Formats: sequence, C-alpha cells, structure tokens
Amino acid sequence: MDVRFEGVSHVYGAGTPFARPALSSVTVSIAAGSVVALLGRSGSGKTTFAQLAAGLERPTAGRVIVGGAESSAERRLPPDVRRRIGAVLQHPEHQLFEETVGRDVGFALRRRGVPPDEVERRARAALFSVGLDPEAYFARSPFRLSGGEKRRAAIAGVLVYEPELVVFDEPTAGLDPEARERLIEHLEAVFRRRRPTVLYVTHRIDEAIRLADRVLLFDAGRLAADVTPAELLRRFEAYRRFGLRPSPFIRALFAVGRRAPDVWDDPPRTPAALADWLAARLGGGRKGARP
Amino acid sequence: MNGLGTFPLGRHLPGDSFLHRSDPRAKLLFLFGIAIAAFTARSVAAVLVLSLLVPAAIAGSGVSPAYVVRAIGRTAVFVGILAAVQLFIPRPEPPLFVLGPLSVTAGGLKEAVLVWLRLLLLFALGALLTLTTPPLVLAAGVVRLAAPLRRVGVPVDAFGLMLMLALRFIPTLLEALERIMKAQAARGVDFTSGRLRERIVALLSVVVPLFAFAFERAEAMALALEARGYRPDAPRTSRRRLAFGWRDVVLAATLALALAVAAWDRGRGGP
Ligand SMILES: Nc1ncnc2c1ncn2[C@@H]1O[C@H](COP(=O)(O)OP(=O)(O)OP(=O)(O)O)[C@@H](O)[C@H]1O
Ligand SMILES: [Mg+2]
Repeated sequence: MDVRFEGVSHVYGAGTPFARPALSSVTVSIAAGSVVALLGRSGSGKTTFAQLAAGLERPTAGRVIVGGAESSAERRLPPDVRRRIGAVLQHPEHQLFEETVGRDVGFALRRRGVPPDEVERRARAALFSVGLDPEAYFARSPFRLSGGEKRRAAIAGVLVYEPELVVFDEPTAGLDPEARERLIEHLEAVFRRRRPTVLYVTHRIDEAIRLADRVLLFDAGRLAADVTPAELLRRFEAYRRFGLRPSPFIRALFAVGRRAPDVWDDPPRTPAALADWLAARLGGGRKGARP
Repeated sequence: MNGLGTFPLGRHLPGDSFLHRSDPRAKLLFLFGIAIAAFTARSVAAVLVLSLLVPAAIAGSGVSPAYVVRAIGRTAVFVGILAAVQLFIPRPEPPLFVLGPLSVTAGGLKEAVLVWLRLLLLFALGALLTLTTPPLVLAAGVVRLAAPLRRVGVPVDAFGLMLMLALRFIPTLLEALERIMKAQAARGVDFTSGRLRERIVALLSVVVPLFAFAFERAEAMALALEARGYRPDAPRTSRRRLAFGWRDVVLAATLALALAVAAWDRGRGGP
C-alpha cells in the first residue's frame, strides 16, 4: 500500500489552550512495499508521522493519501482501508486490552470474522514467531507480562492479520539483545516474504540501516532529510546535527573506510556483512571475523 | 475519539486572570454556593439567569471561550442522558405525548431540563475552577476551609490529598481511554466499523483495560506517596499562604446576588 503526505501538519489538541504543534508541512511519497526507517531526536515528530500514515491521527492541515484513500481534517480513512493497516504502538502497554494474551493476539482476526479454530491456530503461530511460547503465554493476562513480553505480544497481535501497511514504533525498545536479534530476523523474513509497506521508527541507527531501503530524518517537526541507508552512512557527519550518534558498527565502518575508501561504494549494512567484506579483502577465510 | 485528552475538568492552565488570582477558598465557596442556588431555584428561567455566570466566569478566566463552549457541548450529551432519567419517573399528570412505553409529562420534561441545566452549569464552573487553580493550591484551599473539622477528628489533610488525586485522575483516565481506543484502531478496527454487535463488543472491550489501567495507576501512586514518606495521619506543612483580596469580595457579592435570585424564585413558587 503506498502512502503520500501532501503538505501535512499536525497539532495535538488543536483549537484548545493545550495545543502542541508536532509536525509541520511534510510532503513525501512512499512506494508500496518499501521499508522506511524514521529517525530523529525525541520529540521530533516520528511517532506523529507514523500515526498519521496509519490513520490513527488525522492531519490538522494537508492530507495523507493511503492506498488511494484520503485522510484529512475533514475526512477519515474508510474502514476497508483501515483494515489493511496495522500499527505497533510505542508503548505496548497501551496496545494490549483483552483478558488473555491469546485472545488479545486473536482480536483483529475475530473482528474480521475469521472462524475461531483458525483464529486460535494463527494466534499461536504469531506468538511463536515473536519468540513467545504459545503453551506458556496463551492463557496469561497481558497486563501481567514484563515490558519485553508485552512488546512482543503487541507485535504478534498486529502481524497476525498480515497488514499491507504496518507501522512499528520502536519495536525493539526494552528487549534483551537475544530477543531483539530474534525479532529483527523474524521481521526481516516477514518483510521479504509478504512485502508490506513498513514505517519503522527507531533510535537505533544500526536497525535502520539494516532493515530499511530509505531513511527519513525528522527534526523539530520537519522532514529534515530523505536518504538511502548508503547515503546516510557516507554523509554521516552531516546528519549528526539531527541528533544521530555513531554506533560502534558505524565507527568500525569509518575506521575501515579511512584505509579502504571503496567500502563506501556499497557499504555493508550489518557488522556481519562488514566482517565478510573485510575477510574478502584480506583474501583469507573468515577466521575470527565472527565471535 | 479525538480531544478526550484535552477535556478541561481536572486540568490546570497557568495564567494571570481574575479567576487565577482569586483565593482558592473563595472559588470553592463560590462553586458550593452556586450549587445550592442552582438546586434551590425551581424555574427554568431562574436557572438560565444563573447560567449567565458561565460567560462571565469564562471572561474572568482568560480561557478561550471556544474551547470551554466545545467542552460544554460534549458534556451536554452525556449529562443529557443523566437528565433524561427524569422522564422515566411516573407522574400523576396527563402525558404531553407518548413515546413507546414512555409517557412524557410537562412536569417530567421540565424536571429533565432543570437537571440538565443545573449539571451543565456546575460542570462549566467546576471546569473553570480547576483550569484556573493548580491542584496543590486547590487542595490547600479545601484543607483550610475544612480545618475546623479537625477538632472533631476528621482527617482533613487526607481528604485534601484525596480530592487532589481524584481531580488529577480525571484527565489521566480520559487520556487512558483515548489511548485504548487508539490501540484498537491500531489493529485496523474500531467502533465505527463492523456490525452493531461487533461495535458494542469493541466498546465493551475498552472497559476491562481501562479498569486495569486505573488500578495500576492507583497502586503506582500509593507507592510513590509512600516512597516520599507520606503518612496520611501526619500533620501537613503547607508552604502556601492564602490571602483574600478584592477579587474575593467580587465573588462573594456575585454569589450573594445568585443566592438572592434563587431564593426569590423558590419563594415565588415557580411557574
Ligand atoms: N498526545 C499528545 N498530546 C500532545 N502533544 C503530543 C502528543 N504526542 C506527542 N506530542 C508532542 O508532539 C511532538 C512530537 O512528538 P512525537 O511523539 O511525534 O515525537 P517522537 O519523535 O516520536 O519522539 P520519541 O522519540 O520521544 O518517541 C512533541 O513535542 C510531543 O511533546
Ligand atoms: Mg515516538
């Protein structure tokens, strides 16, 4: 599903004394099937942008076109378009509301009239795929899960109905390194297999570079840059003023780039890929390239 | 679903207006007095006259009239449902008209309108009270007003704290409600989609998490109070000095006038 922002501004609490501008005059087009990472400082408008795209908020000015339908101050996305969209919210504790994890993950399918045994089967598969053992979690209360478990349950509840446009708002925040790696591998597989349009909000630049075809950088409610991950890496210094800080991986990449500038031709996008690139350069096997 | 988070009741809006600078005790007594006046008055006309206080108070609060009027409009629908209960009370009168099992009488209709107007009037003034008074100052006002009750063993300080927490809880709960509705919309479905049965199910499924949230918050608040060494029975030290001024005299005079109107209306017997 493609998404187009045309001069979109958003003010929370517009027309009240509590009004807070969050996004101003954003125009951008996102092709169906692309994975777009949203980066920027806290409060720069990433969540607002993502929620406008998902139809969870409506612009106070301009319009958002999703799958050919319009969302604006006057108009809401029609139900048939909304049904094809999913959003994993920034705070997973705000996303879960049923009495058991199983029912919660199955919520969207039930509301779409899927037969109960299929709902259960797919809910269990979705739980398993985010690394939650269905046997252990299906009957538990979602309100009594840890932060990381809640987050994964929330992701399962969205992926379960295979939305064509899906927003992930910091999906790996609060996960331990192992769970994070598993989740990212799972998301990579989902993105490859189903080709949804993805908006991926993150503060982890490594995740953005690894997953996205395109990076949108936000700064104080404006769209400050629209680049590919390769361009972001090449001109990293220029983007530091939007709050980006180099990760150890990016520092390693720059260290390599100082000696071997051709690494920038097609920069490796994960530490493993960088190791492979180096190993190939050194002409040896892959001894010691990976822990 | 939009706008619940900016509902005025229980919210404070810093400012420098007439009402902001009035003493919290004067405002509390004023609201209390108006409540008495509103329920003393028995004619719709008299309650409408009392309602003139709303535009006056808006002007005296410096808050955008459009914002307050919109909030009153939203509340009017809910309060209307409460007020409609009056229509169901059987009355020994010939009905004006019959609506299914419901026979609407002139008296019932008048009572419903009266209840509706009274509650809206109190809602509007209450919202302006919280908008113009920081919660802590409001609590201090309540504690000071109720101080004499301490002598007969009433835990006045605890009540002040409770009132403040309860007031703070209204916007918190409304924000929570907004968030839960958003959580359902995040899965591509909400109240506006599906058949009637599905919509009702979706609406009901908001209630469980809202309660879960409320309890969780209450627990967290209790922990936070304990962590800061709060004991409900310990005497409070208030850093806030309250002092009456000319604004409070204006409030008192207005209240006296409102009470006089209400008393006269009641004495008249009402139309
Ligand atoms: N529900 C809301 N009501 C009022 N203001 C809001 C609301 N949500 C966000 N804002 C404000 O809008 C601006 C943009 O917020 P947004 O949540 O889009 O930022 P963000 O880039 O997602 O930040 P973070 O990285 O901290 O999640 C901020 O100034 C924020 O305070
Ligand atoms: Mg955010």
